[in-house]
Amino acid sequence: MRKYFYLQLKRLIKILPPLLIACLVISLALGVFLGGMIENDKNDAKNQKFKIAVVGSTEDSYLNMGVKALETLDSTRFAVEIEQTDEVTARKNLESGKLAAYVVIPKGFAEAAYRGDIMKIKYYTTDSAVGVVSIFKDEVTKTISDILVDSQKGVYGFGDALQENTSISNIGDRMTALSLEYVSLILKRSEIYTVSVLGVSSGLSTAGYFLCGILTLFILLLGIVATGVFIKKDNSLCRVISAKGGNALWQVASEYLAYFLLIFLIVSLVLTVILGFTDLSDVIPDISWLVLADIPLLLIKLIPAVALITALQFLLFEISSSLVSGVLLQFLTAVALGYISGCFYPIYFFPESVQKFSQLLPSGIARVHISNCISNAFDNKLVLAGAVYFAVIMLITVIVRRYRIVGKE
Amino acid sequence: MGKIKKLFLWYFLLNKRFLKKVGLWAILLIIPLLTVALNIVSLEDNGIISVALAAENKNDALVSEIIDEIRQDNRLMRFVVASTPAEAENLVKDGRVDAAWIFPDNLAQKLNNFVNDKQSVIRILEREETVPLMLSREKLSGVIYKNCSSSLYIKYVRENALELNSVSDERLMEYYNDIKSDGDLFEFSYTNEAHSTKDARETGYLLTPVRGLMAIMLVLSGLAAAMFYTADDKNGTFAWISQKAKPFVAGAFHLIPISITALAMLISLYLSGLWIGFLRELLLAFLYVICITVFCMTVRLICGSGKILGAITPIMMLLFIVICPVFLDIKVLRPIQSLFPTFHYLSAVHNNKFIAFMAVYAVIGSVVYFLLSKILHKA
Repeated sequence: MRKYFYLQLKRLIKILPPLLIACLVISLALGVFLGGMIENDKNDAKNQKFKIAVVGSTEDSYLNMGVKALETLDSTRFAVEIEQTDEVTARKNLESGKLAAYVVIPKGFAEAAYRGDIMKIKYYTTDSAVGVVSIFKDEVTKTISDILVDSQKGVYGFGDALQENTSISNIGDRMTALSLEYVSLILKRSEIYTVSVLGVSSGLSTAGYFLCGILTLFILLLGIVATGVFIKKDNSLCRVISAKGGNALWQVASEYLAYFLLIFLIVSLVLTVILGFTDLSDVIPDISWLVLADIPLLLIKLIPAVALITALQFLLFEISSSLVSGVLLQFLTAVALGYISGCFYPIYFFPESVQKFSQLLPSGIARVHISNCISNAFDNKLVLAGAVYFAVIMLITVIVRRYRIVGKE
Repeated sequence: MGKIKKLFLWYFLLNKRFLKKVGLWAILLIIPLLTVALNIVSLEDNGIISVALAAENKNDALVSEIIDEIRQDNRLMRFVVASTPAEAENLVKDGRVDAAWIFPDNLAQKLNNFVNDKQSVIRILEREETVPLMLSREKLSGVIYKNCSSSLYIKYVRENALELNSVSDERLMEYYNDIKSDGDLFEFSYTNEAHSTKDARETGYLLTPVRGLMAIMLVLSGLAAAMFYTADDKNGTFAWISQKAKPFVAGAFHLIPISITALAMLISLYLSGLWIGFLRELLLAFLYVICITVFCMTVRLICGSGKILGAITPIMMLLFIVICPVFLDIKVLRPIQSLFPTFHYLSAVHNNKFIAFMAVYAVIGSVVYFLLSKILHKA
């Protein structure tokens, strides 16, 4: 059976160049995706994620002052950039994706506000609520509404109290003075709390998590590139080899080992390039401990995760009977498992029940194992669970192969 | 009449043929399963970030009131009540929550003091500073602000309106509470103002990629149809069809599985709550089906063989997922997004301009396909 194993390796080496090109494209696409996910989460002042335009009657000096104050003083300036523009430009920028939203302040807003009549501000957005930050717009705008309403209560309550209990004539000026106090309180609202960043002592940072999720997804998608080699349209070859003494177990073992070596080689190449020859430690602090010399050991530690995912992929090859169904099955399984296992969205986005279910999936186990390897927190129990899973999957694969050999056409 | 009968016969036979393919059934089943699963999951307690709430004094009435208010109506944040500040801190250190908000003893007095001297009151502990956590603190600000607002009001009156010394604090608060607002300051709208944003606001974030994923399933069904067509063409199934009629037959061949999948998509959109109206959904689906048909036929022509098509299909699907705004909208990719029909479809949901773009895409795509087929046939 050694000969059969070498034959499988030869077959794979023959198609290695196109396989590597396909892997390169997948790596690039996932790299862009990872970059986008990390960018979305960055919080420095140069990377405001939420650009909002203010459109409308800013000829009022108080309104202008308010917008300037939001731009320079307010704590949300680290997440929100505000610009003033006209509605046509704002709509165009919203549709082209340069803006997350724009607000239109109606004409006469300031004068009406002085009279205690708060007009509605229209908030225009798009349907592409696919970024985490844009989803927060509801929370932020509700808070702004609540804050302004509470301030309004203070200012106009004061006005009513003066009206009913005094005979002073400059109630408007007194209310204006109080409203300026409220503005000061609003702009300093973030001082009501102190924030201490404890650091990521156990587990991964968000960027590190995304790296492990994308790496898991990458391995899941690699099954597609070898589909053409391992899909068997008929069982005649399996029967011939069985007749010559190579039973189902040997056949599966030889083919699987060749497949595993291929995938492991590709993963090793990609990781060596990314972790060994690029400096991403600023963006992904969890890999700051890794130097080129650490990579071979890391790759060895990753073997259980790669073995588990490749075993599942091999089972899918075994149950597919045509190239089309094989490719579809590999792709759909990769995307579905990747989604549920927290490769597209962090797993903590999902309810507890889904998080627990994900831990039972091979992709979920693989992702957690990869995360443990990156954060240097090896979990033997998880490796054992993965090994049991691997054995079960391979057993099913052998049974399917046996059925192909002895079963009717 | 005879020609129409023939057309229906072709449609029926091709439908029958495709419905025998396991691959197509896999796509058709996944679409509603995915929608139902995500709908169920989105009803459970979930959150983009999780925050532990803790009080230094559990008997402080204001703290309990604030914690209850914070925990109400949360679509995006999951709140966990820790029994002590130390437990909350451990939850953060262990990575089981993203942040902890710790409320001090005698909160009411401390909030009063804040109005005077701006001394911080609440402790927040985080693993790392991220944009979602920064924005989540606005929720805390909003809840706390109410108390600060009333404190500022009373303080200001007592210090700056001596004329109101005879008015008690209780009466002053009555003036404060008598001011009624008419709800939210902001009114949400899409650029197409005829559409209501109400459903969008109630849709959980877990359902936001569903339309995009289903749109991509349609592309997958189109590429699968292209692979089947290539195999059938190689087997000589269409040898008897004239060269002039072949593009139309190819079009029908691709159209059928795509339209079956589109039907499954429409049913799932209706069940998922993402439905935006019968006529609009039908129009968008119709145009999208045409765009996908043209796209897949062109890709098939360029690839030439089933093997190459099979090899690039998953890569193409991955590119669709990354480039089109399904999970992320990567704005720097805008220039190439317009090459992908899925981008126009997703953008057209609330923007009429993209409906026109889809129609233009279908026309240009058809012209490109016909020119390409002529060139490749001559070659």
